Amino acid sequence: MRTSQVIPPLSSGIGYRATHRVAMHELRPTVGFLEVHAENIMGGGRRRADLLRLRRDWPVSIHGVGLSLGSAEYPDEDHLKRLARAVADFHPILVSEHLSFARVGDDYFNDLLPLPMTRQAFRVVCRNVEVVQERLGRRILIENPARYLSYTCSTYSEPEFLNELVEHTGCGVLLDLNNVYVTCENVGGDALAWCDALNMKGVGEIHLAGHTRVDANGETLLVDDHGSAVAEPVWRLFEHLIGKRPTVPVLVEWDSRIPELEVLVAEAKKADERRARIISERPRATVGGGCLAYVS
Amino acid sequence: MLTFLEIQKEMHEAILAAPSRALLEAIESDRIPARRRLNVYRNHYRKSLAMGLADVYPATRELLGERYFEALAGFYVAVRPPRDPRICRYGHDLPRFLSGREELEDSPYVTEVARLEWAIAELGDAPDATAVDWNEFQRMSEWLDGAVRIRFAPSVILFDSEWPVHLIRARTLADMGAEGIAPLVETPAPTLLLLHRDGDGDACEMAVDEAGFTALQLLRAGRSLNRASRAALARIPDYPLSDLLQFLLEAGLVAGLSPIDASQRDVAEEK
Repeated sequence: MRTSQVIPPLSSGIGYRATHRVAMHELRPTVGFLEVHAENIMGGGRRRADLLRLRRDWPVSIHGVGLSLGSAEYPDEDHLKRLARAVADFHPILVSEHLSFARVGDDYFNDLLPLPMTRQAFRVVCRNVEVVQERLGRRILIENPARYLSYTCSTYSEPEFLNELVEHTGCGVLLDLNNVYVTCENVGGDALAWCDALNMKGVGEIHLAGHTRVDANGETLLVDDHGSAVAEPVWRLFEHLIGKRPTVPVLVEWDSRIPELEVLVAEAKKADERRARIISERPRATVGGGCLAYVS
Repeated sequence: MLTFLEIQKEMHEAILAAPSRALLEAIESDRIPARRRLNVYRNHYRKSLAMGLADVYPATRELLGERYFEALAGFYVAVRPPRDPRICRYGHDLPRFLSGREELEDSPYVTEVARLEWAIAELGDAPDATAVDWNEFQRMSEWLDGAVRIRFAPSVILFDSEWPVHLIRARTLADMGAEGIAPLVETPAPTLLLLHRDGDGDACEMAVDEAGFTALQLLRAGRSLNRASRAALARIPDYPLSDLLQFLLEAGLVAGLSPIDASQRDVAEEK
């Protein structure tokens, strides 16, 4: 007989990867939720069956990379249909996408290409977010991507762009703190100031992940490869912010050089411990279970 | 200064070919040159798609050798940008791309293995369907006296080749090396396969004889069960098509049955 999974409130989630399929059933970790890439669950077969089984025990969030909300084109109708089907099938607690573009004309780049932060880009992103929210009949979260360049024509800062996007469309922000750090290191800027400029009321989820430092010709770029533990400067950003939104869902991603499930779960526990410590140091903070106080 | 639309078009060009001067000037480059910043995106594009191809075509990669496959994949990626946002759907025409390569003329089975691997990728991603059970099938086919159409699950693929590609692929993935596949690649051996997903959702294949394969093709084309049965019997008298149908039904590979009304029977049962 299957025992129900009781997940403590404010448990952080983890990115689910098929390599952990067996371990998930054996270890049954007490993580808050599982995040899956939308593009990996749009077909049938084993992946879909696995996720249907997993969602009996853990809430699921769906994180897309293919809608290309920053493209001049409208969101791909077929892709949107597939996403809507996945949302209907898996009843995710959160649905998210990126502030970037991947499509130009009929070509897709399988990447999160950086947008110029201009008024024209803002109008396009607003239009596309509204199309998606209307189709799905729900609010989506928009993630700040890691950036390796910025454009001279930008007239908004990234937090300003996101704040206005939230206000204009009613979407939320998926605040990826590793991406904030990587972006600020790569294109210049103070990561703490970036975070402080973002209206935390719009933040619906926080992502944590690792990055890699790439040196060539005496120049350093940080690459958001999700292939290592969360770096200490990113934890510091987390500790700086989590007291402002103590109940926000938090997720640890690890997508390359994927470790044993225990390692990923331990990383999520670190987020729980740091959140608990910050909350305990702020006795006035009101803590509710929110969507994470989930019992299957 | 580039507009929003121009930036998107220039980024397209920069990733597939080379960045324009206008784009380089539109990118902040105080500490790190704009070209190097763009390279992060271009390298990611090339590497991630090449890795995607390696995932879809593991045996093809093994047969071609890792270095040659990577070189071909790099060339393919440069000239064939994805037309679908899902990386698992990238590479559908790699077999055709390979078939045009002069250096592979002596190994035509490689292209065929690639074609099989794409079919496996397709069926792995096909949507699920509600299966028709044996009792429902029997009731309907008896009631309609065989004047019934069968709709297969989307994950069912009928695959034919001049080579025993499923065996070549299996031995290649089992790391049996050139000696392991040598007996299979000396002369063509026509192969007919029913590709489908098993109960766990994993891809699997079943070799089918010519009579059964012909019947399955006719059913897939919307011909009646009677017509398919006659075609199988024409090839092998007393052919037990019901055994094949029972397998399809028990494996959940039949997703729909529809009666053929009298006005359509001529077409559905066309000789």
